[in-house]
Amino acid sequence: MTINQIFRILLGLYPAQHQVLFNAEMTTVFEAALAERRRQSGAAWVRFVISEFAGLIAGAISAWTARLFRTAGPVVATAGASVSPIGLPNDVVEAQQRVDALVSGMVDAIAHHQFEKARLYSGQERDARKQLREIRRRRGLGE
Amino acid sequence: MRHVADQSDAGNKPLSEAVSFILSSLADRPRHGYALMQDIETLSGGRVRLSTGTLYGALRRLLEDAWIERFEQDDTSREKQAYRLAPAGRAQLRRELARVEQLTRAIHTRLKVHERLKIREV
Repeated sequence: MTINQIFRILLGLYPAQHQVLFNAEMTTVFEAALAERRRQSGAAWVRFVISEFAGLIAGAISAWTARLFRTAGPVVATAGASVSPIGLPNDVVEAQQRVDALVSGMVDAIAHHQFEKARLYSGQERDARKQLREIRRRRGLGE
Repeated sequence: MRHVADQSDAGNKPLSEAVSFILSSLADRPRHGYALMQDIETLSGGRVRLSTGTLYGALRRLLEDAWIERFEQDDTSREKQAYRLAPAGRAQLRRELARVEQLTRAIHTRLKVHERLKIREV
């Protein structure tokens, strides 16, 4: 088993949403860093690999903790937390609901191993979140 | 769970070293994940090297708190996704700078007092 394969297995420890959003990127970053460290001494390379694997395990625990303890919803928790049902303009609420719906769709797609569909949701969710930010800014609600 | 920015206490709590370096690295221009990792190592004089897990854990929290933004960059590099500092993140970085400056002034003041007392004793 190669270092890259172990890295990919450890990425599987993360919550599904995190995997959809970041796995490809994290793999690219890890491979670039690994290639750079290979040019260094053996000891530096071993330290790097140990620190990467430990970082992944700690990161996965932290991501799961964040997911389990957030009540407003998963990835969009901050926006969700600041959105109170009382006194918020309708367009803000609607934009937030759209983000939430897309995140749910993404999770559902992942659960059914429809990764292409999940990627599509992920792209739409990014745009929807951008729109939400824009609406909140226009309404003077801050980020 | 520790949030990067709890809405109720944002601005009061010191930022973690990783978050401070990430925000500082994005302060001048957007960067990809690997560029961030390299820049943080340079900024810290080689002292801080974030692992991929640590970096993306922090990026996820910063995105959730809208301190940074993620966008697709059209360039030839392997990494398409890049990150930039959002206004809320920049404001937070300024607050952190003010906090650190105040702390530095306090340390300087007390060290000078200590040195003066030492000179008198001699």
